[in-house]
Amino acid sequence: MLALKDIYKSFGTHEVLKGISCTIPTGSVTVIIGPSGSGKTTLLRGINFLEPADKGTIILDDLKVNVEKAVSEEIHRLRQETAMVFQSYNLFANKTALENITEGLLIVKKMDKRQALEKARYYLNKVGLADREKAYPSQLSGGQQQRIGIARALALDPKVVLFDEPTSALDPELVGEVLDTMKKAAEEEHRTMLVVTHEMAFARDVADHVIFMEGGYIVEEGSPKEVLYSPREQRTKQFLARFRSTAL
Amino acid sequence: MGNYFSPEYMAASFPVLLSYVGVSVFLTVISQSLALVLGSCIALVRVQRLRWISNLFAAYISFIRGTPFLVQLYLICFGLPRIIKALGAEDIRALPVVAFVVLVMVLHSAAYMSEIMRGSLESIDKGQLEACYSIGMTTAEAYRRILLPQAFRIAVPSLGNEVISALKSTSLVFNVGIVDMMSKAELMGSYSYRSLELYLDAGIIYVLLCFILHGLTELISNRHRLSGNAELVSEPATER
Amino acid sequence: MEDSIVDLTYALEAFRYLLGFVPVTLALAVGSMFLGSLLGLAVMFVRWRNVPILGKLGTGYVVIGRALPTLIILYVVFFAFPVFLLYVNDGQVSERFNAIPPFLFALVGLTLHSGAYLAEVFRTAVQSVNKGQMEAALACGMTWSQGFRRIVLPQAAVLAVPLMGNQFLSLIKNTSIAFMITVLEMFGAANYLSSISERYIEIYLALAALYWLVGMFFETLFRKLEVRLAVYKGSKV
Repeated sequence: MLALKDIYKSFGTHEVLKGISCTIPTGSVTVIIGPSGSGKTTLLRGINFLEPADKGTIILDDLKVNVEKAVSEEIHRLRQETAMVFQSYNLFANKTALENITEGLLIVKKMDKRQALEKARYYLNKVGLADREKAYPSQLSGGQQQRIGIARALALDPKVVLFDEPTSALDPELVGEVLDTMKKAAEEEHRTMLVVTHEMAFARDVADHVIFMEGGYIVEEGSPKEVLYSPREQRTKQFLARFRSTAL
Repeated sequence: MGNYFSPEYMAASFPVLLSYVGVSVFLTVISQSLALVLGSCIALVRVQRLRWISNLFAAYISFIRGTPFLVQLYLICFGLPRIIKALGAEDIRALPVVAFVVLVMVLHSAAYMSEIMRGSLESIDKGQLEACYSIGMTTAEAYRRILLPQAFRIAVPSLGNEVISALKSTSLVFNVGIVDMMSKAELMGSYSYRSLELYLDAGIIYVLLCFILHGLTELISNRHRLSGNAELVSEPATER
Repeated sequence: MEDSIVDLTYALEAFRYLLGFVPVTLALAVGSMFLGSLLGLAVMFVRWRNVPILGKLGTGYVVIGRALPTLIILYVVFFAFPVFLLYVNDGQVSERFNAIPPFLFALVGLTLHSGAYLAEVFRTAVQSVNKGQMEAALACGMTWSQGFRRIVLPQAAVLAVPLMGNQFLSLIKNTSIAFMITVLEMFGAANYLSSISERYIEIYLALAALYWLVGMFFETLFRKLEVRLAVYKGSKV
């Protein structure tokens, strides 16, 4: 279970997160939606300390981290027990597709080579790219790179997988394959997933829980049906109105 | 350090050497101004891809960039007079060495500057030229009023670097007979045996001059902050 | 004395003679490139990690090293060494000092010269690696130094190759300045030859051709290397 308590973050004088608290139950898919500048990406990146928050508490099962006083062992543990899928994929450019996945397994999880290769091949196959194991990121399309990014994250057996707008940088025709991969991961692996996205159809179809953020606050949260179809708050309604013509 | 190294001698010789700095500065200023003009013309020709003349220039640039400055210096300063004499002009002694040195420096820097200008011209969005044509400008007008000014602004840091390079290369011209800071240092060193102090002095002077040139380059490039789509080329990390 | 302005057969002879000195030039270039790279790496590192005194020294070195003419650096190394020896040995300089080949002074001088440029090359290369690469490494649970060593550094190396190639080509040309401290490399040999025969045009044209060919050879080599390494490149920041 992942819980965030009273997370605050400012960039200079601009306060981006104004006391966020939420709980993400194990095995669930939680989607965070909201306009740009709402702080959703900052919140996500605060969980694995890529963008450390200023104040608050992060609880991941038995690990409780006070953000202000976090020591490097705690940060390291958080990073070991979570995995992230980035908007710009961030595949290791100097490693092949397979090596991208084995890298974390060998270095962080300290697996032996044979086990790591087996596991990597399993996940590479799962995302449908088994035949591209020797390719370098520069030789792959954006969609393919992102699917490998997902495989890389899943192979690490994290407690939570963090998705930072995974399809925003993709050409429209490649978005579908990535969302399908994410859906598979949710259904087959029962991973705890925390997804920041603009893809409303994904939120509607795959999410167990939807959080709407705006201006540094959580404005509303609930099941997809509640938040997307019968929102209580006015601001939620205004935001969703933009998407009326499309997915919903 | 005592007798082996004399800071007093260093301090005393500094003004002496400094008094010769005008030669190096003069050579640099004259040659670089001319080189800029020549280099820009060559770049314009090459950008237009004017048949055989572009190839001729490409060969010239390849030669300059592929051979050391010293070789070019010796070729022009020792070789060219021979050719001129053989072609008939007898009173070659009337032409001072300085003219030949300036010639070498111009030919040398123009090659590099033309590549810099060519690069910056080609980095300008094609849309700029298209916009010029669409309002009825001729190619010449387009270059003169819109493209060249933009190209210069982009090129300032690299051109500044080239000028600094040229200044440093003036440290070699005393080999062909120019009386400058280095020749004076050599002369003084031969009778005082304190060459180290002298060349340290010379080094300090060159470093100061380079700082001044660098500051000037920064000043000029900051005054022309670029807006729009062309990118400012940052200071190159390597020697060229 | 001369029949023609340019005697091509003599030029060819001169070319053949000068060819014999290419190894010296290359030894200087390769040697100082290698040592300069080590020096440049070390300097980049102390500057980057802001090591107390060394970091500032490193920055000073990079700034001054690139503002000094190569000749001055060579002269200072050449003249400083005996002064240093005299100081250390209290006035007595061993006989063996005269046996130190000037080549070594040139090597040290050129190393110091290229080190300053290479330090900047490496700094630029490391900074050009997409920040996301390190983020991905950290997010996977690697430590900073693991991420740097395994992911960022190899990519920085790939980015540095073209710049290092440029520096090497520059270095080959700079070896010509070593003749001023009596090193017998290509230019020194040409100088010697021309003092005998006075056939400046042929000799220096042959010399120019030789430099140009050597440069072309290495330039093609580097370009091929760049093409092969292009696979490992990520997208820019």
